[in-house]
Amino acid sequence: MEQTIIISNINELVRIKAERIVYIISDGNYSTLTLHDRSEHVCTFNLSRMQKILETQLQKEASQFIRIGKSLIINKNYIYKINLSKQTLTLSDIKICGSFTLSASKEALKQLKNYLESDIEL
Amino acid sequence: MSREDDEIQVLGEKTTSRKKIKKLCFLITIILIILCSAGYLIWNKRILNNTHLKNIPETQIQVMHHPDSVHNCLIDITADTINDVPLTIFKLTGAYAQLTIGLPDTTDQQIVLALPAADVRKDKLNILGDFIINGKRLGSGKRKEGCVLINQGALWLGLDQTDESCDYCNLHQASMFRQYPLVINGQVYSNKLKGKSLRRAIAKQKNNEDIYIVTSNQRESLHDFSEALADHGFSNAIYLPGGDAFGFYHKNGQIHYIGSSMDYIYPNSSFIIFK
Repeated sequence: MEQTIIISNINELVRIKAERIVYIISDGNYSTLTLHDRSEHVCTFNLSRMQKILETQLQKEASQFIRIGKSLIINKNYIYKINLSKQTLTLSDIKICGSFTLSASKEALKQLKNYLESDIEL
Repeated sequence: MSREDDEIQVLGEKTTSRKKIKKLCFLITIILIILCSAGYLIWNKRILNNTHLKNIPETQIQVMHHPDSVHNCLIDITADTINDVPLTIFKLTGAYAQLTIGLPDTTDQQIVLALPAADVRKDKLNILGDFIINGKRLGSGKRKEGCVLINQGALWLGLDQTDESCDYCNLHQASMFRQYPLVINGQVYSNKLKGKSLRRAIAKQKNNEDIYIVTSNQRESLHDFSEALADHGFSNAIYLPGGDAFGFYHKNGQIHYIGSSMDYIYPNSSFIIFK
């Protein structure tokens, strides 16, 4: 079943399928959702609030999202490449036109790499 | 980047982030420190209280008093070596203790043993530390925490950092002087005094009314001497002026000198004597 999340405020409501979200990046009190078609949606929530919305509405399905540091949530299904030396994380998929390259701390990327590797072992 | 930037979290999963773990560790450490401090304070208070006057029943001092002991004091001298510290131990049974000012009469056969008690300042010639004879105060100061209290010939050794012992003396017309504590409740009491010298101490054992004067036969550090006293089984021991300071004892009608130096005998010099 495809899960959707609803983000609403006084003026508008946005309904997005969770799988469409590639990553959410925050800039203080604003969070920008980047979707697979490279479209963006800015909402007036900080990332913690955004995280809560995802967790509340998606429940178990929320585990497809991983928070990296203070300002980034990614959809792990889109992870294509982790480069520790360059400290970059590339998100790509057949659905995505091109790819998204994000930067994160080396330690966070290392943890992400270990997390994904542990998935293989399972 | 901050610590939080180095963390990842899978959404929907209850993860304990490193920061949370750090906070938890910090809290646990604080709680442990508080518990340890409280434990130490309680333990320390118990140790102090054990040696404190308020825990010594007045009757205990009175029981120790022997009105006819003037003629019954026995001296027994033994030698022992503890932890490579050779000691001479004078065991006084049925002794009647007294604190005096000025050189005791060496011809007085009733005096079984006499040794210097409190220290005297060389420049001002005043007695160092709380010093009371029969309720009359002749010196004050609490820097030396060891306390020797004499009430009607009975002796109490311990630790007192307060005025309690002085108040006791005032109330009971008792005598006291202060010196360095060496052993308290069977534990070595650490002193900062350095250097080696011939050491002397007055000591007692638990549940034993005998009084012990212990001298080292060699120059010893205060710590080694204290350790030897504790290992020998003395529950409480207080330092007495050592070196070659004048002191003597009578045995079999003969006078024997423990020290012969008169260099530091002043008008204010005090002696603890046993009859």
